[in-house]
Amino acid sequence: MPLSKDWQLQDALGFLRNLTSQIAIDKISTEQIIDALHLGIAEVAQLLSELKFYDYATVATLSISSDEASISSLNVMSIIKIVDATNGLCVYEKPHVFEGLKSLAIPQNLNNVSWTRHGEMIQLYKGSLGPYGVVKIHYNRYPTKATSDATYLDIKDPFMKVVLDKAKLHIYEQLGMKAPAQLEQTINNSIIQMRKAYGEELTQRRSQKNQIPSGRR
Amino acid sequence: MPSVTYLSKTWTVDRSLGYLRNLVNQLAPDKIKTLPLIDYLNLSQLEAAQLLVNANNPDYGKYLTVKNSAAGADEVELVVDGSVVSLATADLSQDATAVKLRINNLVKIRYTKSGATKLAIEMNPVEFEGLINNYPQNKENVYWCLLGEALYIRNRITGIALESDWGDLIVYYNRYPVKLSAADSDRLGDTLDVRDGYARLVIYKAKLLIYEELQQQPPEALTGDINSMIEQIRQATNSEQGFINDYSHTQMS
Repeated sequence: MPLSKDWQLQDALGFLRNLTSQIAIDKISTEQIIDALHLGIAEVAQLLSELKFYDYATVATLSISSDEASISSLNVMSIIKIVDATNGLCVYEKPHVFEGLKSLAIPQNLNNVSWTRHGEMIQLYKGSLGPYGVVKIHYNRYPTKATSDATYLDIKDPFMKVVLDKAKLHIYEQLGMKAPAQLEQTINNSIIQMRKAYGEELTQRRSQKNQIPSGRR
Repeated sequence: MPSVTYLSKTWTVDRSLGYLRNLVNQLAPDKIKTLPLIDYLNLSQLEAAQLLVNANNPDYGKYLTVKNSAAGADEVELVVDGSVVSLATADLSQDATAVKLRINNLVKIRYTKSGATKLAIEMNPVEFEGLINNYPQNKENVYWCLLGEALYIRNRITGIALESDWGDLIVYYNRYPVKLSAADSDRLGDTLDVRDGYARLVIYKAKLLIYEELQQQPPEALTGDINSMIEQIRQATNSEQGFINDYSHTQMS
């Protein structure tokens, strides 16, 4: 389901057409404006994912065969966690460490399900544990591209301004025109603010947790 | 119509648009019918709200209840995992009456059962799964984590054997402002969805967008005013918090 509650594709198109009508009327098609908009959304989504926001989080069940599962059909931007209903949280390992786990049968490695990612494939290792249960992957998906006017955009509304600014920048680029310096500055400021806000929220949450008496955690 | 009371008491959409039209009329009268002034107002409102929320201002605070058999406004159904009764989820995209929930961020969650209340503890997604292990120190608490618009809740309080054993969860959150409309003449009388003290910031930010759109340099006084208002938001919230803390200490001593 798209994330915006209020902004449909037609709203954003109307807004951006105002720019195109000023700088290059008839030189840019609706499809190009939609592309510019989607590029903006995808970039902001990527930034949010890097900042550990889970706006695009979703879940799917992995189909495991010979300790491997394909995620090619899932549109994965970043993996949050993998959970086996029988064995609990699966532990991420870097590719080389993962191979070490398999070749060195150290007892503590045998009691967890470990996983690593190679391209569109998830490799799992369950040591001496019994069969896998239902294994679910929680991941941030890529935003969905809106193509019809009444479709809601796949971005949370508070980020709409930076998305529209980024779309404007892409439009200037497509037209081979130099964007106003002020626009680039505005985008940079927005990104700095998002990073700062994330840092403050993280600090605040850590301090709230520290205020909870240790016996209650 | 959203189940939200717009925050301003006096600043209507129509009046705010009037200020913006005045500016466009001075800068580029031929553009007065083409510039999307209502969008500038909406984007500015979202930016101002984000600043306020980041500064811990409580203006946009709301709450909803996650419970079994949710039926009313601001109620969301608790869906218990079929195989693990202590694990539940709730879809926070809309309430039981199908009204959209505009959740910016969650502030806190209070668990209530049989008159007793308890603060539920936020966990990151990985920590949340770690709770599946039966650590004694994790017992007798309720834990949550938000992934997308899905709220995951794990109830470690003794005696949760059936779905009906669950209590309710009061979810406190900050919403974001509702998108204003100028397309419908009936909606021009709606007020802005920002407290009156910050209406000037919204209008000034909208003015800045007009300058940007027209590729004209805004007056330094305008950018200076906006920056000082932003600084005031931070200081006002800190001083309000300081006042509350001072008052609380006075009451307790």
